[in-house]
Amino acid sequence: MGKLVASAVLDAALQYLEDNVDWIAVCEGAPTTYEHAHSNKGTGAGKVLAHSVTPTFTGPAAGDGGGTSRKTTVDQEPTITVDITGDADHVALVKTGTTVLLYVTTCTLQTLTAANTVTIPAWDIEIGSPT
Amino acid sequence: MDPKEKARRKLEKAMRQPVNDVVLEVQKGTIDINDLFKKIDEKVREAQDGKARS
Repeated sequence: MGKLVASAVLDAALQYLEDNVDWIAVCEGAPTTYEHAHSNKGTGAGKVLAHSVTPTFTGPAAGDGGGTSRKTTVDQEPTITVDITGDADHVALVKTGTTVLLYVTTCTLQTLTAANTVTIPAWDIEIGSPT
Repeated sequence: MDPKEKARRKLEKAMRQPVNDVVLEVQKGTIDINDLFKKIDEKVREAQDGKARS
């Protein structure tokens, strides 16, 4: 039996991110809770090395996977001040109003130094077609 | 997102100054729709279990 999902269904999920994400954090270690992605490393269970409150998105648009896949682009987040020195290996998207961790991805490990800056280049979140 | 808020955020980003800037290499986040449907099923079951208990 063939499987199908309308683009509008996937777009709603991607649009949810755009409408709700108000905090993007660079973390040391995988954040699995709101606190991990919202508190600085060294404060409670925090894992945040740098953060920005200006995340923006472009999309949703057709995904790279073909079919009805859809994607949204998290726009570049340039020159964020590093708060805590550490090894960055994850990026998290958060909604602070309701204290929810919404999305986490990985990045190639890079050592960050406090008071320097870090740039998160534009990256995609894609939802594939059903198979 | 409200277009005015989006414009405000973009302006704020454009005004930042780099200091020994490090550029991360972020891996694209791909969501397998089949996994997504499984997660939705799990969430629905959790919600139903919660209602049944209360």
